[in-house]
Amino acid sequence: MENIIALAVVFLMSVVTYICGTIGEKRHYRSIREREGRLKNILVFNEKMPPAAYLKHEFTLVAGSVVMGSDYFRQVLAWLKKIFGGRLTSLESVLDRGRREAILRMKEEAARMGAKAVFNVRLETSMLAGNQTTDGRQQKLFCAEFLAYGTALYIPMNAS
Amino acid sequence: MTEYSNPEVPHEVNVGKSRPILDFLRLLSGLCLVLAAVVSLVYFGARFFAPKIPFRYEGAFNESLLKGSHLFGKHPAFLCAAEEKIALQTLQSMAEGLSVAMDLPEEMNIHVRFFGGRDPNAFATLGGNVAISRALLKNIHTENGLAMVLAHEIAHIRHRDPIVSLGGGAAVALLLSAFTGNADGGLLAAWVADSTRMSFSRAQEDKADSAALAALKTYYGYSNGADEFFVYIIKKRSETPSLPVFFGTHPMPEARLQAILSSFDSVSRPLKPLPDELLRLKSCWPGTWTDD
Amino acid sequence: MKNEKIMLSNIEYLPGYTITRHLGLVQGSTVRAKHIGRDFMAGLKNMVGGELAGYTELLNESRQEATDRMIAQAVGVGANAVINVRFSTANIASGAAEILAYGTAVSLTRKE
Repeated sequence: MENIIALAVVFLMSVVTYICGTIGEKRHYRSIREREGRLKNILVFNEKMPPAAYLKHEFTLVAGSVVMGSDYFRQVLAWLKKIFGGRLTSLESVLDRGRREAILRMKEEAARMGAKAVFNVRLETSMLAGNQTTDGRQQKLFCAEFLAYGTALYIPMNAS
Repeated sequence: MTEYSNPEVPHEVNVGKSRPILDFLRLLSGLCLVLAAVVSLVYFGARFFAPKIPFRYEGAFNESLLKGSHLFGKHPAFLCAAEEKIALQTLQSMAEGLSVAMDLPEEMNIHVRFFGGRDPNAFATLGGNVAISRALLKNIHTENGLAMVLAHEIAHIRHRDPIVSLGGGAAVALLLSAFTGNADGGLLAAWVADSTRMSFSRAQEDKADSAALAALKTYYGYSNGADEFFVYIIKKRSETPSLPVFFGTHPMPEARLQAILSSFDSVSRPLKPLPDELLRLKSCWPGTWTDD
Repeated sequence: MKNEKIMLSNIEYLPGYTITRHLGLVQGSTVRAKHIGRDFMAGLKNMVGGELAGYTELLNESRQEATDRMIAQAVGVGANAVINVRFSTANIASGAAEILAYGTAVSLTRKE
């Protein structure tokens, strides 16, 4: 009986989190596309050497980061997939969104500085350890931090 | 002058086309298939290898098993302890006679015990233990009928049926407790505790029946009268629709009765009455009783 | 970033600037643990997926602090810039992360 209740809870949670996760994913992608369009005039490169055109520019470090998690259903799916191997398509979207979000936040910071380009962009992903739930059990929830940073080149406000 | 620009990148390439629900169902059914395959492999593997364990190890295992089992304890409803002890000796010598008739291997010693009260039943378990319920003895009136029951259970022991049943179940329980991370082996313990009432397959029952009938022919010269308990149980079932314990351990009495009847000699044979020691025990018991 | 005196970059050679002095490695790091309330909320959020804003904020604060500490070292050695800055995040225990920022302290002068 207890097992049946536990299974029902897992099932219900899977359904609810699948719906929430899918809605959240759609909304997030919409926001990402909208902001990417708005910030497309800020150029990003991961080359180390800015060209001579930026000779008169000031520089500063800009960074953007986000911690993203996957929903419960997709984590269960990933757990199942890990038994058989293959592409974890259910987690790919989280990674894609996380990385683009981090780059967007870096670009937003660059935009606040009045920068036109960010050079030597570095991307970093780090796994955050499983969350400790209140009942003391270790839960292996997927959540990772995405960091993007680079050197923004800008014309100083007082000089322009 | 070199041009620096950021044209639109096709981001979709980084996200695979996924159909989560379809994937989920496919993976889940795949997992179930794999699990079922592993479980049945372990189950049949254990059943295959269990009889390879020498019989003498069964005894050692069984002593610890029986200690915790209430089945063999002194039943509070029966005060005929002295009569029961003498009757057991008679049953024991009957079992030994049948063992000789069945050409039982040297190291297989049969121990006959009484158990319970209300349900007419008998079973064989690990370590050569044969248990006969008091209700069974109460409702049997010929030695031939009783000998059939004993010989049937001895045949199970000879065929190593108890360890096959236990082995298959225990291996699966062990596998499942390892899989679920339930390291205390609660499932295994539950299985072992239940193993005194293990059930056998139809094929095992039929094989035991034919071995028992052959033993009766060696012992008495004929197998007539072996049907007594089966006739009784079929009659009893038609009166009381539910007999759970009996069905658990001895399924399909009608079909088996046919096989038993067809082994009989066509001429009528005299049936032996029960030995005096058993009759004395039966007369000591009260007319009716309830088990619990 | 905040400190006006110190310029930061993750590039080694900056157009329009000359490095007059290389002052060695400077680093700043901090270890932060998320508090239980925030962890609980993040755990709930993690069920439905998406951004875990509590953690993002926590890690940003930590990175700012690590950078500030690195800047303090750079000021200490008399630099006016830190170049080739790198960040790294490491989980040292469940619910605690070390954020590290490091780079090379230098003195820069603008080319005329």
